Amino acid sequence: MPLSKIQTADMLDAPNLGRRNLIINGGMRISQRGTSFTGHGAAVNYGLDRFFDYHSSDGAFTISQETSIVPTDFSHSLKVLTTQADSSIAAGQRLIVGTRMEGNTISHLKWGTSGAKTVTLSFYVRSSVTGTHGGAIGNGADNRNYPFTYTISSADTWERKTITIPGDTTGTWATDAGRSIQVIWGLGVGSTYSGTAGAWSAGDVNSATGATTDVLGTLNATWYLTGVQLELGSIATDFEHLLYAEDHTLCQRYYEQGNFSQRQSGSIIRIGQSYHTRKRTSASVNVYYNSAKATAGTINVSNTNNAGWNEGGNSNFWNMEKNTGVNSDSVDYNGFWTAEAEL
Amino acid sequence: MIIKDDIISAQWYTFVGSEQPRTVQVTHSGGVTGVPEDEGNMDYQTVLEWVAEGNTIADEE
Repeated sequence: MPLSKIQTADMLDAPNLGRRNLIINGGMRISQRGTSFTGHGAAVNYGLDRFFDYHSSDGAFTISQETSIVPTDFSHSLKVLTTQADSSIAAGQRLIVGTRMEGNTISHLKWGTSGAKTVTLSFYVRSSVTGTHGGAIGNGADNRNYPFTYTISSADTWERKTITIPGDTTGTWATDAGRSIQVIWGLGVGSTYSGTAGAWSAGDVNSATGATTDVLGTLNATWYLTGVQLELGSIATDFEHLLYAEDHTLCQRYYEQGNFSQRQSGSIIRIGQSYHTRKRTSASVNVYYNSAKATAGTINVSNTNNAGWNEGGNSNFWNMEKNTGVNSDSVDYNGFWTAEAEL
Repeated sequence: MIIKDDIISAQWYTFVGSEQPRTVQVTHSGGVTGVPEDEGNMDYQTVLEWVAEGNTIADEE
């Protein structure tokens, strides 16, 4: 058999091999919690799956999942809209968007050893604010960082950015189910959390010194992100589009939700279900009356809002329990549940 | 995820006979969340920070 029948020149030129992207939901297609988020403050808050924000400033913003403003070949993006500007960001203030990776996902990169491997970050970004923007790679303990910059050349135009990062030969990088590599984009970061771009250093840094803070500093400024990819090596290959179901399942390792409907008798009621996807660790569990998720710990019992349920589980299943105090027969229990094992 | 400043109270709860960690039933501004006694869980880490500030997880009833 001729060699050309086995391996073609095209295959050699474009080895678009699968499973290159270490980032989950880089195409922003999965957003189980909703499609628009407001009021996030000084805590890690997840909006679109696997992407969080942290905010401490005098400004305000919304994060949403967008389907109309996307690059060619993409269907979704993450949008940040500044709804209240903070044009004077103090040293310790910041608005960041980021994604955290589990140690199991990146253990082969050998970071924290002399054999640390180079990786390349690529992403599509669009903003109303032109100029030099910043971000940083960091570790789970927030004591190692590699700030980077990228330039928005044209306002409101999609651009693909590529940043090659030498592996960190020092520091502690989790290789288990704990928090390891973090990729952060700064949208307005004060000097306390800014550092010199292009070099590894110690400390909790989320952006590069000199990067613009004008996304948070400008009312109605916009910043969009999608096509996020982190891959082994020094070359940014095309974004790896997974099947939707693959993306969804990967996200469910960290967050999953669903419904339950059961009819039971007795006074001490325990209801539970197995997860579709095993969680990273034992999950936090909320049960709700319905998918509106108004008040956690409250469910629908015979079409009445009923509180007082204890919630629990492990990495494989969730359950809830209550001593109703009444030995009832054939009662309907309905509701909605969420399980969170985020990083 | 639970925000430390939103926590109002917390109480231990055990699902008897089940292979799952003991839980902390955390009452916060959004209702009640069941948090496993598992140091890999970020919400449990938040509860530990809340306790470190002088708060107490109530015993089971």
